[in-house]
Amino acid sequence: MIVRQTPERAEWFSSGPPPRTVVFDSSRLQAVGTRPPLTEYLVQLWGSRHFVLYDARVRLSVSQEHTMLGKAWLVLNPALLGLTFLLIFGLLLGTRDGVENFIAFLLVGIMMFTYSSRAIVAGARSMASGRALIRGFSFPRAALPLSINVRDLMSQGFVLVAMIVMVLAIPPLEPISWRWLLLIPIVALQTIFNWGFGMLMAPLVHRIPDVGNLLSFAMRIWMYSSGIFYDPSRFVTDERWMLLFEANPLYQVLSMSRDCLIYGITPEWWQWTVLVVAAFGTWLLGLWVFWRNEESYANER
Amino acid sequence: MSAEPRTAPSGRRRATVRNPAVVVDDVTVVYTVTSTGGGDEVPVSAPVRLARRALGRPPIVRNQALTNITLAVEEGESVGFIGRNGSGKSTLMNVISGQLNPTSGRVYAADVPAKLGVNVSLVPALSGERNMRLGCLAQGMTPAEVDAKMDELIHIAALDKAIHWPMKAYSSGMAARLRFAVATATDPHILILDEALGTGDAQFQDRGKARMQEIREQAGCILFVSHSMAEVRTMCSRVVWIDEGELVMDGDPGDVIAVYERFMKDLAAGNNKSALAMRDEAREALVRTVVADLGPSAAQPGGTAA
Repeated sequence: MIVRQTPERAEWFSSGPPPRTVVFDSSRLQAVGTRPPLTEYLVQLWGSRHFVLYDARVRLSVSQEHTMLGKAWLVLNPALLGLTFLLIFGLLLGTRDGVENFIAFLLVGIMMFTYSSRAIVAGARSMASGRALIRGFSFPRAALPLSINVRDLMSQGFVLVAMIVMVLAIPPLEPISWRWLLLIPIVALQTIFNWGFGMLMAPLVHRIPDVGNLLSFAMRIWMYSSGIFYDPSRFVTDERWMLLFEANPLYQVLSMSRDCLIYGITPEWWQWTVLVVAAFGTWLLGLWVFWRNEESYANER
Repeated sequence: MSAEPRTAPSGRRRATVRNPAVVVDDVTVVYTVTSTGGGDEVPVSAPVRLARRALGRPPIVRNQALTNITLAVEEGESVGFIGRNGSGKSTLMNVISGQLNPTSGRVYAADVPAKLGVNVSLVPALSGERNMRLGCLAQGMTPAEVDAKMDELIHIAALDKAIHWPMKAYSSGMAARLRFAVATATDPHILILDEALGTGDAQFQDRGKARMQEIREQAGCILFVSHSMAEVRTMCSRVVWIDEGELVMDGDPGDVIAVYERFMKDLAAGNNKSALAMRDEAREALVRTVVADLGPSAAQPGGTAA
């Protein structure tokens, strides 16, 4: 039996009435607010799946509640974004030269990239946006970035439908092929990457909220360097520079989905490898970092 | 540092709490907050001070919210926490429920404590019913369990048709009803109520008290923060008085409330000196608690367990 002896306690022993000793068994009680081992943490996260799904669904349904058109904005937002870029870069500037079916090229690029930038920024800020739930209930905090990613995947569903309709409707028309189905694993891997990256950034953004502001700019730079409205092979002649583009998982997401949807090219195995390694590597690292910091999310900023 | 506990021989009382549901072991909380005055700033180097001034950030002060709190709460107990505003009651509740990490010390509990606070607003744009469902799922209930419980919860909340309105249209009392229903939905072993019933009307307070009685009968324990001495007197079997982050009294509701009311009356009358003297005297007479871990991590010489 061990009683810790602090200076204050020594003082109590010497003055005032004698203390009473309460004996308890810490193996029967759990320490409040401590981080469980990683495997147990994952079991708890699995246990909160009902909460994650419901939270994602209701958050999506109320996200446009304040507007008159409501859920129509889930489709209008990406469509208008596509039109804006089309106007600026397609018609006024001339980057379209040399890119076959530039309209579809641009739409696919923007709609696929904004998914990642939305999900990563929201995931990184999830500890602030979920504060009410964190203060109210105790659940594994990793449920919040997961729920945000499920929500963004759901809203990306609308965007993908809009994207495919536009590719089908705006000339030059592309033939429908079995390769369009490859979009499913591409989006799945992209989602795992977003989720992992959001979890990786969340502890840092919680500790230093200023990073959240910087992150939006970082995503903007990432967007422009992922060949969103240009084909890098047109500007980059040096093989070594091209490697930089090809190691960028989001460039691979854009390039692979364009190949599948527009150009009728099956992505090569090394492209899949880059994406799989980046997605699962980021996810594992993100989960580990997020779990390591589990106790810190209780500290208010 | 460890030492043999000084126990029985000297006639000290031993292990009066047999089955603690909550053990607060030597918890200290120190906050840092920004302060626009008072002059008790944490000293920082000159460049940092200049940079903070240039950015318009006020200096930081330290606030000792809790000092070496040690408590044990038995199963089936209903403990009232009383004290002035800012005395550290809510901070202690946040630490016990795991929403705030103590600066030092630790809290052990038999189960995950469910806390019902004054300012937990769920999703304001969502209807009351959906917020209720979300809160239940967040506590780890399955959708089937929520469905089975929903009618009962709606009855406890007694919000009539407002249950379908978005929560942003709720008054503070209505929101408190909803939160109370959600927090007690899982039949929590340990329920923390932080001035939860204060905003409610008589009907809600009666239902709330009945629900709390049920929880106590299931061997759960309730930690109850309130400024209403009448409420504390009727609902608590033990009262803890906290002042300036320290335990002052801990015991029978009648005794503690009598001294506390005299203390508050003196303060209100402006007799600060005599009030503080009374408090210090009570604090001197407090029987401190020392907790001892019998768990597998602790060495057990001779097996002194009762």
